[in-house]
Amino acid sequence: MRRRIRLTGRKQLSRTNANVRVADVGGRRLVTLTMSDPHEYSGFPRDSRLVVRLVENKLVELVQFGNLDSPRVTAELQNPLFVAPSCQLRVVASDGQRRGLLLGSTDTWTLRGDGESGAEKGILLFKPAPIAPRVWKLDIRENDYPIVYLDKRIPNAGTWARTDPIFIGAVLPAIIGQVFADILQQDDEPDIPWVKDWIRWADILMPGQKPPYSQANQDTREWIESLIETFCRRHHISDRLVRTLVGEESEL
Amino acid sequence: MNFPTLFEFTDSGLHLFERVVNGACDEQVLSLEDETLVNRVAGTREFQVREFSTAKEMAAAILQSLGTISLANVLSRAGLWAWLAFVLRDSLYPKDASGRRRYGEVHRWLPSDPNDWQKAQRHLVRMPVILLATLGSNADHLLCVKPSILPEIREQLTSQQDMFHPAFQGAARLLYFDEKSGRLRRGAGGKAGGSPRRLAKVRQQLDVTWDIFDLTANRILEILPKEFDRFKEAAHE
Repeated sequence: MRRRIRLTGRKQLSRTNANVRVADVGGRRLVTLTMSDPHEYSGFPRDSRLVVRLVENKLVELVQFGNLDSPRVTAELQNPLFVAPSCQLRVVASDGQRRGLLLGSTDTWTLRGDGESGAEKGILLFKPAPIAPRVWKLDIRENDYPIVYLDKRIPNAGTWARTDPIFIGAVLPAIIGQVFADILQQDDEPDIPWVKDWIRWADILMPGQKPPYSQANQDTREWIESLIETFCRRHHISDRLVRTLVGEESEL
Repeated sequence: MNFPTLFEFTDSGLHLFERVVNGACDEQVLSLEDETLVNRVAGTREFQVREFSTAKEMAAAILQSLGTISLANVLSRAGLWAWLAFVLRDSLYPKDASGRRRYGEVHRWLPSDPNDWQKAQRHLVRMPVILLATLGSNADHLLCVKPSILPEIREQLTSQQDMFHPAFQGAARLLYFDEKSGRLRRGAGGKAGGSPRRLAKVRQQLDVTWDIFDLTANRILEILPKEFDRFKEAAHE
C-alpha cells in the first residue's frame, strides 16, 4: 500500500471521508459538511477548527464549521459567484502560539452543485452553467483541472459532452489545443498537480515527445497539432463522427 | 471629459476598439456617442475622466461610479473595461515623443476572461478596481504607481488563485509599502531574496504548514524566513 509522507507534520485526511455539498435554500446558499468516519479526526485537539476553503476565479472564502468538539453541519456561503470552486477541508489549531497551524487537510477537489455526478473525476471537468448564447466555454484555472462550462439548458449536459460524437469530434480537440497552448506558455513545467496530469496524459499518447516549453511558436504549434492528431487517431474520432452523421451501415 | 454614467462597448464597438489599438483606424473613428458602438451601463453614476496620479485613485473613481452595482456583476463585461481603457487612454497608454500611443500586450487593454489565471491580472483598469474593491488599503503596495504601469509586484502578488486575501496582502503591504512616502520601498521591484517574487513562492510553502488566512498580517511577518529581514525591519520602523 502506498503511503503519503508529509514532511510538514500535517495529517493527510481522506477526501472520501469528507462530504461537502452546496445547496440553494430559500435564496441562500448553504454548505453542508458531513464526515463519514469521525475516528479519522480523533487524534487532533478537540478545539481544532474545521474549515472548508473554497477558491475560484481568485476569490477565496473560508467556511467555518466550528470545532471538533462541537462541529457544525451547515454554514452559509457568502460569495454568490462560486460555480465550481476548488475545495479543501482543513483542520486548524486554535490555541495560543499554534493558532493557525495546519494540523490536517484533504487534497483539493472541485465542488459541484447538488444533483451532479461527481464520479467523472478526470483531467477535464464539465459543468452546466448559464453561459447562453454560448454552448461551451473553457475555463483554465490555476488550482484545479480545466473546466468546460456547458449551457445549462442542455439536458444532462456533462454526460452529453462526454459521449456525443459531434461534441467530442468538433470541440474536444480544440479544448486540448487551448489547454496545452496555455500550459506551454510557461518557461518550464509548472509545479501544479493538474498540469502534471495533463503532461502525463500527453506522454501516454506520445511517449518520449517532451512538451516544448519556452520554445518558438512554430515548435509549440507543431507539438500540439501532433498531440491532437494522435488523440484523434487513437480514439477514431473522425470515424465515430461520420458514423453518427451518415449511419452505422456506412462504410468507413 | 464628463460622462453621465459608465458605458460599455457593444460588439461592434469592441471590434472597432481593437482596430484602433492595432493601428488599423484612427481614434476619432470610435465615436463615444454612437449608440451602435456604446451602451450605458444601467445603474452607474457620473464618471469624470481626468489625470489620475495613481492606480488607486483611478480605481476609487471607477468604484464610485459603479455605485451600488456589485463588482461581481460587471467583472466579465469586457465591453465596460475596454471602454474605460479607451476613455482613460491618455493616463493608461500615453503617447511617446513621436506621438504614438503604445498600448502594449493585448491583455493590458482588452480584458481576458476573469478566470484566466495567467493573464487576468494584466488589465490596467479592471485589476486595480478588483484589488481596491476586495482588499481596500491592503492593496496600497499594488496600486501606488501611475495607472499606466503594471509593476512587477502586482504581477507577482496577484498571480496565484489564493492571494486575494487581506491577511496575506496586508503582510505584503507591511513589507513593501512605505507609508511615509506613499511609494514602494527600495528593492520591492527586484527578484532577489525577500522580493515579492520570493514572497509568492514562500506563500505556497507556508500554505502547507499554516492556515495563513487565519493569521494576522504581523503574524505572517513573524513566520517569514530570514531573507525577508530587511523588509521586516523597515516594516517595524
